[in-house]
Amino acid sequence: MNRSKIAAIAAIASAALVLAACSSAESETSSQTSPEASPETTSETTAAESSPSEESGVAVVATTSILGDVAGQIIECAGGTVTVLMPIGTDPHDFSASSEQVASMINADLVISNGLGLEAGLTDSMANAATDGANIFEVGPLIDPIEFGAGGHSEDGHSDEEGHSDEDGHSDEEGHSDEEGHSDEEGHSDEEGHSDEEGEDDHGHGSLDPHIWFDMTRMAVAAQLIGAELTEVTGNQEYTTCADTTAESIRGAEGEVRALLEAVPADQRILVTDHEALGYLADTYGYEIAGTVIPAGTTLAEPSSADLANLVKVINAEGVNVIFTNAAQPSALADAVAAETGRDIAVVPLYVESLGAPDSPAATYIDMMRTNAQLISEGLQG
Amino acid sequence: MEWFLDPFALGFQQRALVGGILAGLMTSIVGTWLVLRGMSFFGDAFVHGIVPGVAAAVVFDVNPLLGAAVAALVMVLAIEVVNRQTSLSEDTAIGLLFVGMLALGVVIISRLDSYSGSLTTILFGDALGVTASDLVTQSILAVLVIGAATILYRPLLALSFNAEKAEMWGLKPKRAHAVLLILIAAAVIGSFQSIGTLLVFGLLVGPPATAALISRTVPRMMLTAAAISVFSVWLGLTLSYHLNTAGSATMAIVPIVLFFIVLTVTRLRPKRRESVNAHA
Repeated sequence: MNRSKIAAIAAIASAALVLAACSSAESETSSQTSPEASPETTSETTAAESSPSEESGVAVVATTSILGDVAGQIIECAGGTVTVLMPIGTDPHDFSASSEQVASMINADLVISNGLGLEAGLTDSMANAATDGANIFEVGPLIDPIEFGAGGHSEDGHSDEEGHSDEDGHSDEEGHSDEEGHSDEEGHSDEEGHSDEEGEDDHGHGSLDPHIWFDMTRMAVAAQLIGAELTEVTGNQEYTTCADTTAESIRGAEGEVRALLEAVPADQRILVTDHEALGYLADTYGYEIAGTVIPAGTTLAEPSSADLANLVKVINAEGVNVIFTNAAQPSALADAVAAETGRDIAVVPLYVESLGAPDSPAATYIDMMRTNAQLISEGLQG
Repeated sequence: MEWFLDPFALGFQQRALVGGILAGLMTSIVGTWLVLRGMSFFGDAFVHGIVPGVAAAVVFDVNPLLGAAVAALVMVLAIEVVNRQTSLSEDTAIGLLFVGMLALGVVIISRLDSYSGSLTTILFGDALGVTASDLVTQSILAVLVIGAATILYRPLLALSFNAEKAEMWGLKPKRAHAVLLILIAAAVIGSFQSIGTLLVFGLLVGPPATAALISRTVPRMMLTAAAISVFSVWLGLTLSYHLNTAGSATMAIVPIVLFFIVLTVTRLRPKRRESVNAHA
C-alpha cells in the first residue's frame, strides 16, 4: 500500500511535470509563433521572391475551384502557381482543410478566399492560419455583396418559413440593392445564421449572400481586385494588367449569359433551387426565387418536414416545372419534392458551387456560367 | 527526419499537439479510474451527454464550457434520480440519458443554419482549430484534474477496489464517487474542443485499457496510460498530416489499435504476471 502510494505520487508528479513542461513550452511557442512566425514566413517567401525568377515565385492558395480558376488565369499570364484547396465537386460550405493544407495557406504569399461565410468548414482553420502569419484576402466583402432574399421574392408570402423576407421584400429590394453600406457587415453571414430562430426575416436582412460568382460583373471586379492584391504582394505590375484581361473575358462571356437568361419570358423567370445560392443571378437578370429545397444560404442546414410541404405547395401554386439542383451533390430531397407535386417536374442539376470535371462543360468559370445559363434557359422554356 | 518534423513545423500544428497532449493527460488519469471501476459505459454516455450543453452554447453564443458543465450536471442528477426511484439497473438509466441527451443536442443544433458543420465540430472536434486561449483553459483544467486526482488518490483507490471497506476506513466513498464524476466531467470538458465529444472517449478508455494489460499497480497504469495518450496524440497528428485524414479521428483510433497490438503481444507471451485487472 505504502509503496504504491509513493509510486502514485511519483507518477502523478511526473505527469504534472510533463504537463508543466508542455504548457510552458506551449506558452512559449504560442507567444513566439504569433509574432515571430509571420516575419519568418514572410522572410522565407521574400527570399524566394528576390531570387531570379521573380514572377514565377509567387505562390497563391485559392479556397474554391471557382476562385482558383479566375486567379489561375491571372497567374498563368503573369507567372506563379495556384493551389486550390477544394477539389472539384466539393461543397464549399462543408469542406475542412487537412493539416497539410493549413500549412500551405501559411506558406503561401496570398490566400484568396471567397469570404462572407461561404467556407464555413474552413473558418476555424483559416483564423488559425492567419494567427500563424497567413495572408488571407477575402474577396466577397469587397464587391458589394447583396443580402439573402434581395433577388427572389413573390407576392403571396408563401415562403415565410424559408427565411426570405417576403412580407416586405418588395419595398426593400429597390432601396437595398447596392448602396446601403453593407461593407460594415462583411463576413458576418456565418454567425448571423443563428438569428434564424428569432425571426424569419433576419435571414433576408441580416446576412450577406456569399455566392458572388453568380454575378459575372462582380466576378470581373473580383478578378481585378485579386490582380491588384497580387501586384501589392509582389510589386509586379503585370498581375494588374493580366487581371484586366481576365476581367475583360469574364465581361465578354457575361453578354452571352445575359442573352440566354433574358431570352426567357419575364413571367417564366421563376426558380426553385436546392439552397439559396442563385440570389445574385436572380438579382441581376430579374428572376424570382420561388423557393429552395434547403431553406438557407448554406447546404449545411436541413429542411423540416413543414418546409418541404410548403415548397410543394409553392411549386404547384406558381406552376413551376423544374427544380434546379447541384450537380456536385445529388439531393434525394429535391427528387422527393418533385415526386410529391404529382406533376411531371424536371430536376436539372446546375454547377452551383464548384467547377465541373475537366472534361465536363463547366471546366472553367466562364464555361460553368455559360452552361448554367443554358440549362436554366432551356429548363424554363422547355 | 522531415517525416517527424513537418507535421509540427507551424504554430497551429503545435497548438493541436499541445491541446491533444493536455487532453490525453487528463483523460488517462481519470480514465484509469473509469476502467478500474467498470464505468466505461457511463463515460461513453457522459461524453454524449454534454452535447446538448455545447449545442445550446453555440446557439445562444455563450461559453461552451459552461454549457457542457450544466449538461453534465443534469445528466448525473437524472441518472441518480432513475437509480433511486426505480429498480431498473444502472445501465438502463445511463442508456436513457445517453440517447436522450445526444438527441436533444442534435435537436438544438438543427435550429442553426450551419447545422451539419456545427454538429461535426462538436462531435468530432477540430484539432487544427485550437487557439492559444483554448490551451490556457485546457491547462487550468488539466492542473485541477490531475491535482485533485493526486490528493484523492487513497479514497479513489479504496472506492475502486472495495467500497464497503472504504466506508469502514472512513474514506467516504460516496464523496469520492461524486468527486470522480466531477473529474470525469472536467476532463471531458477540457478535451472536447480539441478532439470532439464523441472521440474523446477514445482517449478516455483506450490508453487506460491498454495500460491495464501491462501494468501491475494503479500508479503504473496511470503513468503508462498517460504515456500511451501522449504517443497516440503525437502519432495520430503525424499520420493525419501525412495521410491527409481527419486529425481528431486519427488521434482517437491510435490507442484502440494499440490496445489490440498489446493484447496480441501479451497473449503470445503468457509468462507475464497478473495484471491490475486480476486484482480487481
